[in-house]
Amino acid sequence: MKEVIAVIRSGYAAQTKRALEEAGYPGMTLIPVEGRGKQGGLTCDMLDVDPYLADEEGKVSATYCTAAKHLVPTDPKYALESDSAITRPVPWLPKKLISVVVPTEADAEKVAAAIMNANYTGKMGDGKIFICPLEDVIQIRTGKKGEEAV
Amino acid sequence: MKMVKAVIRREKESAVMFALEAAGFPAATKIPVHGRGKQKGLIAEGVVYDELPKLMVMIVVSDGDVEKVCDIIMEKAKTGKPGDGKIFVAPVDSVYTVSTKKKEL
Repeated sequence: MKEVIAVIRSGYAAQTKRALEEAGYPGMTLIPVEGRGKQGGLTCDMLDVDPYLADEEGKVSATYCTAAKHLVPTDPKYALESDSAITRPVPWLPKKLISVVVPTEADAEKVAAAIMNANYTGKMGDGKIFICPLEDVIQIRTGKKGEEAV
Repeated sequence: MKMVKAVIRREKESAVMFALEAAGFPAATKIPVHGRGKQKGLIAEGVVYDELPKLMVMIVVSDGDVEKVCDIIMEKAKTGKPGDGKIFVAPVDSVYTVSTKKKEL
């Protein structure tokens, strides 16, 4: 058995659910989470900045960019370049974690494809899909084990 | 690839995250959870608190980086008292990146 764990954009949960239903996998667990990828959240230059926050030259106001300043680490051993913390107003983004358990690897690939098609925008932040092996599944209502419990 | 799931104290979040980021692992997913360990929660002035708020951090890394990530979490999340948390390492068969539709991290 396989567990497909996908971290997707918050607003795409509904259409992902629809896509999974159409693919024949209605069962799922959905958890609201916070996450970030290899970019480490959003930096000022990634944002389409509100013009009221920018000065005449189009520069982002200092107060907006220091939103994450309090998160600067106090331990000098792990201190980042202080600039990188200051120019990162959104270190964590709201995401949805979807977990779907399926009997076979072929099913897992189908679920992954369905999730990928429903969430694809081609821009960063589309999310990741992890396919993990699962030893056993037990249906609590009937006590059934293994593939027939999925 | 391996999935590292660590249940840590919520107040240790920024220490762990900054250490991981400085070591080159900026990507993570945070899940707020409630849990207890083998001490069955804690008792304060006779009141039993059997579920304590914790933070689950989920990081997927290549096999060679698991040690490094675990060491960092262990160092930064440690207070030495019960409730520091646990780290679980689970196998991951494959990883897809949605924005590129590629089978890679």
